[in-house]
Amino acid sequence: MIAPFMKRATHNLAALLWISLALLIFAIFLGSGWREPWTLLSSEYRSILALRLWRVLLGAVCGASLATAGVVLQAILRNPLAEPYILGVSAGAGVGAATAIAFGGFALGALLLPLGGFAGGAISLFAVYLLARVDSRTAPHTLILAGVAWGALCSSILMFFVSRSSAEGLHAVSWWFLGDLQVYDPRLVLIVTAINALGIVAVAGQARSLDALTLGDDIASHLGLHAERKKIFLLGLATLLASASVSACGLIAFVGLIVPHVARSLVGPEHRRLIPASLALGAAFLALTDGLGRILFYPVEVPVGIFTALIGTPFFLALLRRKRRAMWSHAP
Amino acid sequence: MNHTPPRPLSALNLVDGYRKVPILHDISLTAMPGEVLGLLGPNGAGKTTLLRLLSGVRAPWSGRILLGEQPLSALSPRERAKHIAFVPQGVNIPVPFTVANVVAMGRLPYTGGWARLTSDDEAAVARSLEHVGLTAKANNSIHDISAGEQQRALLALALAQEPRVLLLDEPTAHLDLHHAWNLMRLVGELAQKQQLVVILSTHDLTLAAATCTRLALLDKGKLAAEGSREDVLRADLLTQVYGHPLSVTVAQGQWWIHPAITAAATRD
Repeated sequence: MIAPFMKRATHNLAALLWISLALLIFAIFLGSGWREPWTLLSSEYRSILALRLWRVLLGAVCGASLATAGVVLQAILRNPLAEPYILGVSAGAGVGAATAIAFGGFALGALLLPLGGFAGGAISLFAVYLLARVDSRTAPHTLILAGVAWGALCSSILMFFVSRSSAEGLHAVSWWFLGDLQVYDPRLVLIVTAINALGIVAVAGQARSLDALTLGDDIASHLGLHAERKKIFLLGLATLLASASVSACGLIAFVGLIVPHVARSLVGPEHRRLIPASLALGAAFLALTDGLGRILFYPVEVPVGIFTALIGTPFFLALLRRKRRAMWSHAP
Repeated sequence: MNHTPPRPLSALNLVDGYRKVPILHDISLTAMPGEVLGLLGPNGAGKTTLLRLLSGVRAPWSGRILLGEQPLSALSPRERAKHIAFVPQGVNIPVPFTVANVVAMGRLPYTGGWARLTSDDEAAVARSLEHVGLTAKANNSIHDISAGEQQRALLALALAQEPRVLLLDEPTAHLDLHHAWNLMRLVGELAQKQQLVVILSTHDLTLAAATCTRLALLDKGKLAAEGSREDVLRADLLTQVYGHPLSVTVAQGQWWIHPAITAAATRD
């Protein structure tokens, strides 16, 4: 009796995974000046192919991570609008990473960047949560307001960094505003890939706990979870995923919002399906959007963050206005 | 199936409170397998706090809770969740899980974070759905069924834990008369059939009189009375505890508890 639905969701999930993979491969061939795939595979284009591969890898990793972070934040905070960018976590991670550059420079950068980013992201999430907490309750819309305000504060701090920095440092910091998948340092991509792969595996291992936490702390603790500890652990993981992504590709908005919602509508809200679906869809979405940014206004490249914001803002507003059911509207 | 033998749940001298304000004073109670113990008392009497203590998720200031001879505090949370299930009130399910999804969450103590449901797990989910009569709606969204059915889905979630003890916090609070009486009848049958210890709180004294096998009346954190209907449902005692004139009418073996229509009551 459970089987028919489960089967349908499984079909959807399998199809989604294959389509995402195909889109990722397709994204490799998007770039300044279309070249036939076989040309790109020939030896004279090897260096271009390598650059593209790095870039698609970075896009896939960041897209998957931001989407997964969104899934976790939405479940734990029981808020459909929760997302690393909206909650100010991304901007906070940006400030953390910029500080790391200011003190360590790009030389130490590869390792220092994700670390600084995580520190900034974690402080931000904590601050936003405390700011939004009134009488030991966190109203969903207050949380979003606090996040947006905190994000604005962090963005202005980043702006201050830009205005104070030298010409070449300026470039390094200013791309954070736009979100850019240009690979400056392959080591950074590798480190972020390793960190986020571990993070995603750790999140997936908590899929059923995330289901229970979606029903609230009360039910979760009666099902044998240390609800508080589990929530802190998962929020930490979400922050890590978002911050490491920010340190490599800057502030990319709304991926963590759009992707989980689309994935949920395709495979249902159960996290054992939602997590794989979101990370595949997130990877394909970001790599593909970036590819479009490379070709749409050729020879000018449009940073990917601009596209995700263009798509994401209407999506966010639509969700905000949605009145469907108690659907998230009065979650404690 | 839970193969552990049915055991009574006992509370010994429980004292508890929030932020140094005491709420429960020296409560001792025992509930036997197969019986439905109804916790009565006005708002703020400590019913929910007592249920949370009995579930083991909250530790009392002092006192002990025993399942058979075993102190609850000696069990890990996960182990405890295989023996004690709790249906909280006012659960808000924010995303459209299917009924089957929700009931399957009751298997969390057995599956852990990622594992697939085994055939045992699926059988337990199927049985629980069957018990509450939701088998046909297993694949419906939890948002598309009635409030009474949602409450039964949450009951099925608790049953899927295959517990020995079932605690329910005002299970009939948001249900109409028909659904409330059906749910209570169902809970009574389950207690008998599976030899469960059932403890529930309710504000519906007439319903409790008809469906609970034993009653306990809480008054400002103290046990004011405990035992059969005759022991607990006394007009003078209820009037004093609820601070409102109440009458008890017994006819044809049915008990009705209702506000007394007196001058004192109508004046304000």
